[in-house]
Amino acid sequence: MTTRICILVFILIALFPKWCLSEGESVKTATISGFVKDSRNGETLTGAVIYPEENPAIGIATNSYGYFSLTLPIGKYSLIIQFLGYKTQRVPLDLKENLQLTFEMEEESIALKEITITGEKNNNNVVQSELISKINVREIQNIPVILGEKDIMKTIQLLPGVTPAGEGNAGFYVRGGGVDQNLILLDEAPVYNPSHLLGFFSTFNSDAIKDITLYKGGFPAEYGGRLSSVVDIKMSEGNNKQFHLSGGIGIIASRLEIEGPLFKSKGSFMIAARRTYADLFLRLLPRHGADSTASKSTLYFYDLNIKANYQLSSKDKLYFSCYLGRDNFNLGGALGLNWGNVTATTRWNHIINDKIFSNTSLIFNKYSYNFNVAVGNLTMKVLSEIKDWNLKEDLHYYLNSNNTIKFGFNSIYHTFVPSKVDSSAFLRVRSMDNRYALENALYISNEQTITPHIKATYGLRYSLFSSIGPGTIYTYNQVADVVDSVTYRKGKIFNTYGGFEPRLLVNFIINDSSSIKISYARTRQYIHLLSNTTSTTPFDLWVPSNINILPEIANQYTLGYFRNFSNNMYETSVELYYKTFQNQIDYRNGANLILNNKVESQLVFGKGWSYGAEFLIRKKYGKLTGWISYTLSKTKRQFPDINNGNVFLAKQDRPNNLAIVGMYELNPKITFSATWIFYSGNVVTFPSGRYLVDGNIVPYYTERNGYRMPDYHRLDIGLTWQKKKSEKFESNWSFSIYNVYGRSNAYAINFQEDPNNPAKMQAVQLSLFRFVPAISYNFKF
Amino acid sequence: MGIIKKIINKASLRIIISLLPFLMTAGCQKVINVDLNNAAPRIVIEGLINDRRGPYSITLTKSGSYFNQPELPSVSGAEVTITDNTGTTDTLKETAPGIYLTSRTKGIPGRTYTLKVLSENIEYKGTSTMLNHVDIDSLTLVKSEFQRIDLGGNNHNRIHYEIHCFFRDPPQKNFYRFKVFKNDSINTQSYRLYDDQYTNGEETELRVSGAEAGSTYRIELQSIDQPTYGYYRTLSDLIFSNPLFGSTPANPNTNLSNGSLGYFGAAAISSKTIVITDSLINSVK
Repeated sequence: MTTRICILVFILIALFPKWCLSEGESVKTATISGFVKDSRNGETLTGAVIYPEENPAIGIATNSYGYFSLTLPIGKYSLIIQFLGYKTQRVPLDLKENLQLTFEMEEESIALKEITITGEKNNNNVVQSELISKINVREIQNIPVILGEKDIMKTIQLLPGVTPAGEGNAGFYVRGGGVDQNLILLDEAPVYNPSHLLGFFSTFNSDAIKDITLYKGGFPAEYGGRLSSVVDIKMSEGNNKQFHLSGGIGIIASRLEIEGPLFKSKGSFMIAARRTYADLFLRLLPRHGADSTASKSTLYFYDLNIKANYQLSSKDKLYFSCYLGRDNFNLGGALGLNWGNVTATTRWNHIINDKIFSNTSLIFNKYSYNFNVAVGNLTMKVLSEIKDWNLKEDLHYYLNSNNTIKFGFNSIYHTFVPSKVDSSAFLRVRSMDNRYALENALYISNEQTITPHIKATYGLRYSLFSSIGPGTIYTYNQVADVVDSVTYRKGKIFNTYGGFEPRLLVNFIINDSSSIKISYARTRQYIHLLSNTTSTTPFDLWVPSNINILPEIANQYTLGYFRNFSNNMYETSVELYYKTFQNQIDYRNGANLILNNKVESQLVFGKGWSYGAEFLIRKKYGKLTGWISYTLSKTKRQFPDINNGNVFLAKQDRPNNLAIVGMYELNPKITFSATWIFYSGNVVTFPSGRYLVDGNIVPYYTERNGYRMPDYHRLDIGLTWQKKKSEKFESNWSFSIYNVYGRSNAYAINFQEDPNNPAKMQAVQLSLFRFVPAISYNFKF
Repeated sequence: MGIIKKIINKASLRIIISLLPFLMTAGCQKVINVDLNNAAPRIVIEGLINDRRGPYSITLTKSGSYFNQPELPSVSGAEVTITDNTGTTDTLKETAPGIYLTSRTKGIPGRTYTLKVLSENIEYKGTSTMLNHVDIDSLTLVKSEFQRIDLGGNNHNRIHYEIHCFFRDPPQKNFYRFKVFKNDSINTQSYRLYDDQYTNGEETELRVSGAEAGSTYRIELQSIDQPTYGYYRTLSDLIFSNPLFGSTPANPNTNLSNGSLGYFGAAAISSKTIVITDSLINSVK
């Protein structure tokens, strides 16, 4: 029903553009277009707002390349350009003809922050028809984190509606969705496994990151392919004015970044690298024996981010960005495991005319792991990878001051190599079949100011997923036995799924400081992550939809109230959501997902739903900044083959989730910070009885996820001491303590025989990370 | 397949273990109190008939509270019968509390057996087919190097001896359970299960490592049907898998009806014995 209404509204607007063009054509207009940049380094600013002071309702925000286009009736204006953390500019303008302008924004110094806020209109969160949480890396640099490694993915988990999948797990759940339902984009390239060291760290070196935008609902039509969220991460572009070298030395890793202009400031570049030294600790372990193989043991990860851009002409700009990261673990040659991601993005920004902006991207991304074992004369080598070639075209058409139309397409060619095995004949392990698929999508959307009090963004996405040969597809019966198989030749499209994904977001602006936003979004997901373990492992497997795995579909409805106080110093919001999930994936009892060519036979399918209320209070300026976020929610699943077909709580279910983040600037040199996190423990399946079979004590289960682990809570504190700050050199020391009061949070609870009395069972809780101090030194030339 | 899963789980575990010291996590274990529900007791039926001489026994017990019940109650006074597909029925006799013995049945490969248990007015049923009898062709002793490397990369390789057990897998789909008895006692800490999906109809080899001089090993090969194999596999996953990497636990897949726990199986059994004498050890290179 909702879908139909959405489509109807959309068609109406498409058919009757006059309604959109209500401004009246008799008035002569002119277009101001251009870029907004940071004056210090020339990087483009995303989400800066430009509006005429005379008519604040018709403002426009810069797109993700810093571009804007604003069409106004001819006349005299005072143009306001503003961006959080930068000095607001007021530019008098006598608009007679089309203008191209570049605004360079100056960063606010700390002293100015308190003065300039009065009279500012930083109320994007209220007036824009978008539902986003945007984090600038500069804002979070003081938040304490484990082992002092700044981590944007951990910061995201402090926002309402986002819950960590668990300690030591880089995954997170958004509004009841699974870890694989988050689309994590690094400069538009999907990152399939954003974790290092089994999830203790994320793959994103925050030195190389500019900002990060999180969408939990009301998704714009240009995004698709995952059900529950979009995490859009932009890498820094590099300084096009000066060379800079910066870096840091921490207790587990060191970082180095270099940036500077290219080709006489027509371009710039940035290279950032990070490496851990865990293996150095390994070397400290005692060596003995003549045939010591210590030199062959390794354990480390590294990241390399490279970005460059070049202004071809006033209308064309090229961007290239690349990420390379790998974890490497090797135990004396007997056991080797390495895994990592590669992404490369080439983008071409082209300004077709004052009103049409185009971006074309060609993207390659890959996640792979290699696993080698050599035990005696038995050897096994496994290679697994998923790689994509991705072509994307996005067009922004600034029709008039009330309508911005975005449209484009996206075409991804997926190659799945689940496992290529080379092993001793005795092990009898075989490679799994490769799979190939083409994922296409077309979208169009319009961001419209309907009246000064109603803004809407509505759009439609159509996605198609085709399985391509070569491939053998098996069909299975109820008990997972193969009943038939069909083999397709190379290039043959043998199965296609597709459908519409309507998106709608309406913002009812009550006044400058309060609004109500409603949204609806349907999302479809065609590739799925199979992981049957409680922790993240590099072996988790991505599989495509085919006749055995239907596409996952979600429908989400949200209602939110947004209110700012004290001249936008405080942002508050309450959001309610209701979400349904179709074709969710779980596993048969005793499922074998590893090196199983018929892995699809191990899956069972069901549905789910989640609902909740999210509260956020955020203080943006002043000596004390930070936020409090609280989420009250419920997430359920129902599978005919699990829990006797009864509804059960999903593993994502965390009824209470609270985060308090505070940063206090004592003086320009010293900043304190603290975060306190509290959430309900994971749901778990515990036995409700026991019995004996074959001489073994066997636990007896009555219900899936019927129990809950103890509540999780933790306080982290940090201190940043600005040692020196001048134009030429700055440095700081940063100290942090993770889990200050040493809470033993349950990582796992196991049941085992009491060592003192084998007839008695006992529960043993395993906890990690109690009281972890860290120190790091950072510098910049 | 199990071996690979084990290798991989062990690999992940080793990485975590090796991380712990350097992360300086005072990661800790402690015994805690967990308040578990007490499910209503359920009947547990356990029985495996074979193609050797009977009598075979069926054991009936009940499940109990997880923490607080040292002795699990046996179920007496039940009516227990085993019927084969030719119509022969054997009524079992309770010889000790909860233990019921057959009197006439002798398992014959190819026949399908149905167990019926009537207890407290509820009937439980389970069916199992006895597959081909598969003989062990030979047991040989092989010298091998056991590789163990610590986190510092130090090699602690050790010479050890493996028993290699050979048998010819019949052309049909087969499932096996091996039992290894050392001086007539069995190590119950693992299930050795084998599925012929990659070796159907071939000469097949099983390796038992850690053979010790002076001991006698008896290898028993049980040819079982798919449901029995499935029960053992899910049982083994449940009780022996590493909880950190295990999946959501669930009751093993049973072939019994009406909510009964346990299983009923029919296996064709063969076995062979090898004595590890010093002269045998000296003869292998």
